[in-house]
Amino acid sequence: MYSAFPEPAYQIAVYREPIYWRERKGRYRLVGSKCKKCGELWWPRRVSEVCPNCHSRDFEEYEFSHEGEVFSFMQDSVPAPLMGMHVYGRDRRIIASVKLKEGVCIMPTELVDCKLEEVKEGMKVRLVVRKLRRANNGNWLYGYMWTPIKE
Amino acid sequence: MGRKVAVVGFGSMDNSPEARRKDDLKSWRTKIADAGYDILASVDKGMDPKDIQYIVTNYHGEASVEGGSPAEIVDALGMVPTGHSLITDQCTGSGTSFHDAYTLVASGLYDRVLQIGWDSRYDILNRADKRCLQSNVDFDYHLGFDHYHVTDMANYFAYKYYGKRDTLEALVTSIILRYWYVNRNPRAGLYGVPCPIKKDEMMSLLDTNEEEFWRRLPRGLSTDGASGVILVPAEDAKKYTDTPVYVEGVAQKNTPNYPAWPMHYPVRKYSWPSVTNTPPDKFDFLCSPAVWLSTEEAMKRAKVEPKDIDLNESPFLIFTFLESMRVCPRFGAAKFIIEGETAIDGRLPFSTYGGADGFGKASGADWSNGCVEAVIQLRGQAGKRQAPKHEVAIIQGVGGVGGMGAMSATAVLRGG
Repeated sequence: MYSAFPEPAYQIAVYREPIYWRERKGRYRLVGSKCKKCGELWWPRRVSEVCPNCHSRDFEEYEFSHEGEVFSFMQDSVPAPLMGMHVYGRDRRIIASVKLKEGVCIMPTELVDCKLEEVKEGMKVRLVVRKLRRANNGNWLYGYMWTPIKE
Repeated sequence: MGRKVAVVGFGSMDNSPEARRKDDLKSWRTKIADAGYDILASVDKGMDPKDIQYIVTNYHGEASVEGGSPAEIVDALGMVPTGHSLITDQCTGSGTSFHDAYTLVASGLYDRVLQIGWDSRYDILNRADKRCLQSNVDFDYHLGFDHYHVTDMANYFAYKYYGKRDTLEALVTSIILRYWYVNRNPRAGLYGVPCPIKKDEMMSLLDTNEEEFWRRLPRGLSTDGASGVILVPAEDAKKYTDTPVYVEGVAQKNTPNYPAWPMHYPVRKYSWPSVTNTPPDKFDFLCSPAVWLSTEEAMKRAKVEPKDIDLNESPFLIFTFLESMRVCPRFGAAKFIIEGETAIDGRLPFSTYGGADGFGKASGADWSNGCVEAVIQLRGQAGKRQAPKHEVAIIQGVGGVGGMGAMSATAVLRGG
């Protein structure tokens, strides 16, 4: 189906570009938040700028490790016509959670450049930035994904 | 705790299969009004719309419905200038609106409060948004993830802790039970639809052709919905009906909505694994702490033990909910279902009205549909699906995806 229509001309959902722009550091470089008062790390970034731990509102950016290990994984079961709303041209993705050395877990996220049968819990992966889809204005959007680290 | 509170009216819009086929011909305003006047008509000794002192309603929220302003809803009900609070709390919204309606009566502020949970598929601004915006909108959604992907991950953890075969056998068992219940409930959306699967065939398919297993597995019914209750102080209940149902306890709890939060959330207010009776090395996505906390609090307020509860009228079959009620051991819910304990003659009949997937998944009305069934059961008016024991019922609902249910509302009701 999607070989015939790799990039649908219409979009069912409404995407708002300011959200992409605001969260670009997280999506490209895994930038979250660090509470300056208690030192806790937060992923995703604390958009509200309130630390649930100490209630401080004083934060700084923290770039998380770009390497981690697979905590859980599953083949995407969402039918292509539905999935196509978000990610054009790719079917049966490998959905996973990835644990970083800071202890933070990224989920859901996507494993690329490997087959399902090659994936194992604890497999080392590193962050890559790949194309997601086009925004309403035609620009390509990118986001983080994970690829196996070849020993 | 304030005043004791009773349910004296209950009802819903027409949920029958005939009405479902005409869902798109009616506005959400009509459906709210249909529910409101059905609830009023159910008050045995009568209640005039002018007697309603306050209204609490809810819908899914976010991109669900346009024009859902509080004033428009009161006007749709023909009840201006009555006060009204409009709540959005996703799939547990009507539990939260019930909670708030309860507190308004228990506090002594109002004596007659109308509560309605509602939702409409046909009037939403954007159907895709409604489906998607249940996860973290800043990351997951834009990275191409939505509710279904989180369900995929839930399967991963369910297979890990319950075993794949037991998880899917419990799923098949619950679907077959769903059809048993809906075919005894003329108000259910799937009423009259025969169950299309047999357990032995499905489990055999799982071994031989898993793709076919998934193809044959019946999906839930997505519908519009509007339903609710009238709450009054218990001391006034007999003025309105000879068979009131009493609200013994309510609770509502929230946890973060980021799906992976249980794996790393560093706030130590609670010892999260112990909250959920889970070994720390197994505390992850499938733990639903909000469910455990709201269930525990509602049961504590109601002064009931799990053994006292006869009915579970929750809209969703959440494994951890059965475990949080401690009717089965942790990671024992799949076996509990497989062994028939959620059937009408089992230890804890579950969703005797058909549940969200059989009655109709209406999001904002999911919890209140279960609550209406609890009232019907506790009054002994459930006909062919009447549970043999029906003194105490519990209703629990979840919404959001963080830790398999970021928000949870629970209530315990007792027959008069």
